[in-house]
Amino acid sequence: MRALTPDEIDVLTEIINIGVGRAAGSLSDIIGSHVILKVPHVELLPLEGLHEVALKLGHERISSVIQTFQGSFIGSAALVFPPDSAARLVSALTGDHITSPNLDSVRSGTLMEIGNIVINGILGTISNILKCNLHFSLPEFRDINKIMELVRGDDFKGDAGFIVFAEANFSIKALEISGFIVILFEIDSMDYLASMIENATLDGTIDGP
Amino acid sequence: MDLDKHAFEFQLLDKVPFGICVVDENYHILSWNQTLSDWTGIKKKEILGKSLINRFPHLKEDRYIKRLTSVLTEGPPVIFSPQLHPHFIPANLQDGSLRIQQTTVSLILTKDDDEKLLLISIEDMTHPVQQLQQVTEFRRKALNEIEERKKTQKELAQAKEAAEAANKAKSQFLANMSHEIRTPMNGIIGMTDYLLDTELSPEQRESARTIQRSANALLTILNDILDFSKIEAGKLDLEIIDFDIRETMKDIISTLEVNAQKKGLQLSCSIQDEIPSLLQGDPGRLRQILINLIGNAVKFTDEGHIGSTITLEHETDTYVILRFAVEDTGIGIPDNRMNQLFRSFSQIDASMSRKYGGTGLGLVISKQLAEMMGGQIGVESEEARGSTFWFTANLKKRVKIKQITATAHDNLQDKRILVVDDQIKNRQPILSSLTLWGCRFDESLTGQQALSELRKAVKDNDPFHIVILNMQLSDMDGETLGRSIKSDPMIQKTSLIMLTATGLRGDVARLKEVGFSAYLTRPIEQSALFDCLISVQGESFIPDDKTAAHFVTRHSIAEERKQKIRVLLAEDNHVNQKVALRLLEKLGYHADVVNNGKEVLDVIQDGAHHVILMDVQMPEMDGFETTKAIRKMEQESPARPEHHQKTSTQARAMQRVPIIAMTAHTMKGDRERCLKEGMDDYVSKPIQLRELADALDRQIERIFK
Repeated sequence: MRALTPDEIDVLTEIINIGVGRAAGSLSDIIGSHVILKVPHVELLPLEGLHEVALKLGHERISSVIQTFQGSFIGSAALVFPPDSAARLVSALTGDHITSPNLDSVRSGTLMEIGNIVINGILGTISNILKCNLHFSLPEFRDINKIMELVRGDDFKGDAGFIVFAEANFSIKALEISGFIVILFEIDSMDYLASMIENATLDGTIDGP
Repeated sequence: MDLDKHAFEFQLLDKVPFGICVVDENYHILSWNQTLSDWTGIKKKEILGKSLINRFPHLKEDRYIKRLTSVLTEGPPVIFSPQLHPHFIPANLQDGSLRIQQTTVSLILTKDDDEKLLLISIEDMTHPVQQLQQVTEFRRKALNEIEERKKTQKELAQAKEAAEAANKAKSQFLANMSHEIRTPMNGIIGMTDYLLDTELSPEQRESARTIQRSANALLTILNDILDFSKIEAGKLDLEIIDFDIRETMKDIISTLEVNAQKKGLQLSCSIQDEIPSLLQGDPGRLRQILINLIGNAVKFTDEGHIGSTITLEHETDTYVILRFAVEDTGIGIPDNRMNQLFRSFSQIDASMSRKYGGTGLGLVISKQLAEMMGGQIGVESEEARGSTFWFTANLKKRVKIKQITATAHDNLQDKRILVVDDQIKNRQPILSSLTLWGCRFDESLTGQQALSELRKAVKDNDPFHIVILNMQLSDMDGETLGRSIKSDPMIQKTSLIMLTATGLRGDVARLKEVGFSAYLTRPIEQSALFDCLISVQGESFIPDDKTAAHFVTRHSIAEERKQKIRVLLAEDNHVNQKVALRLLEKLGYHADVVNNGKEVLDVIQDGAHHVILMDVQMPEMDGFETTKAIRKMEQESPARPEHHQKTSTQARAMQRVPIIAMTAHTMKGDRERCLKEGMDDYVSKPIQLRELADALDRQIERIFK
């Protein structure tokens, strides 16, 4: 089994970047405000590395919408906010005046729709480009105390080699909202990913290495 | 499209409480479950095979169709939330309003993967949304109510502010008016006093006395009104100065004794022994309450006795709470009138004020003063039997003892002093002073011990020069010890200083007879003890030679100090000049007069005056300007060579002359302004002898330190 070449990582980053860009565009459309997006950070980690990722993402209470997928590879994608940002986002969209950062079932539904739009933007792009066969779960809202629970990695088989971790920070200045998008997926073999990337580039979907 | 193929599977969907609909890639409806039929009233038969987006055209809008399409092309499911897309398939409730829905659209594949279908699942969220709306509405109302309340509060605050401003204006008017009245009163009282000191016929004297009484009565009323206006304006403030509670009481009783004796009433005062004499607080205000309470008692009692008692309610290291009670055998107060007593403008009966006089403000002011002193006021009474008025006050203990800085220590350093007292608490302050001055000293606890110490010292050729002894000793009294010393030729040259807490009339004459050099009462200020030792030392008294003796008492110390002092009086009004000069003369001071600030500056250059008594309002240059100029002058020329400083007192005078302001303004701010402008003290017009004496004493005390 070989590792990905730097060029291949660049391509992977680019694929995720396109997805995140589309997601940010959807978000911007929904809320009618400019979304500032940082270029995503992508890295390949061994499964044990997940713990460090969790630490890096911090321990504050967060609100997130998460969707998992299975098929050619297993993974999850999440839209993550500090709770008050989540509440502000919902109130900006619904005109509700929300005083508490805790969301009830109705409001968490609203956040779920937003998360769904954003995450679909990314996952749709990736599955299109890589032409992989994926089955998606319904989006799920989580209001949790530790980001650990978000990336607990129970879904991963763990016997394979690597986790692709991608993180993209975004902010909406006008609404004082910040958050990030996390994508994690487990790849059975690097060769398989490399071949998918190769196919995608040969296909001309994106510019190859 | 094969509807039958899916029929069985789709039947299952009828049993779930969600609206469920399945469409193919072209949005043709393959399944429509019973729940949806119930919600929409559209039967399966009517809708199966029809186009969903034609039947519900709003789904052709971008925000629906784009996302529906993406499920087919990309795979991930989409969600339409109740707040953003509440009516995916519009369905009325019984009340005609639309059902609120949460809709999920997922991709499903047929068994052989040859066909992509969309499963649309709709959850009824009407109830949770309504609940949320109710909560939100409730919160909005609550917030509005809070806003309303805040607004009302603000309006109330504004109204209160306006009322307070009006009240303040009223108080200011009262203050101004009383000022206007007090200025001429100064002339009336002062000149009447002056007149009474001249030779008058009996009728003239009686007339002058009437003027004096009337003027004093008017001044009392004026002071009450002024105090009351200060209370109203929240401007009544307390001073914190050192005072001696026993002295203060003695003074109050002697003030009121005259009136009481005229009515044939006995006036007594007892102070609990445990109460420390040296306290800090506002003796003037304390005096005001007591004079009011005792004065009332005298007023309302025709025969019998008025007793004042002071007891210790509570004591800590730093303060005491004293309870002052004034008991009379007067007319008493009916039960139902007692609670009116401390209210503004109320005597218990309107006829009372006609019979007994007074503004009815005295008790109100006393109550306020007592409360400001951290105490309470109250009364217990039985009609026709008498009343007991009481109040409590929190007074600080005096912690720091004023210390005399090194001045003429040399004079005392070679003296040997014996302190005789069996009480350590009495000896301690004296011993620490003696240590400070560098004296050599020993202590004796008894008379016998003192005698043997004295004799032993003579034998050792190192005799004691001075003995400081207490009147009460465990084995003999101080007077007896003094006699023994003076009758023993071996030790009779020793100078004796009697220090006692219980001064009795006749003591001085008797002790002088015995051969004592000085007689002082406790508590004694360090500076007075020092002056006393300086006076006594070196002068040996023997009984035979007592005619030449210069006997030292607290008063002689004060007198000596006074004689050294020259006061400069700056006052433009001639009547007031005369009044002030008479008062100064009465107090035993030498004074010079100038008419305005400019003259002050000319005269002060000589450095011959120790204290300036300065009117605040003067033409040309007022008191504040003059003070500023003096302070500037003093700063700029710390030691001016062209003015030869003839004596050491002059040198001190040039350093910083204490300035006492005289003003007819009596609001608190004026006092602060005087001090801020560089003045040191303050007396209000009309000038009261006692107030002036106290102010001068305080400043002179400073000069002598």
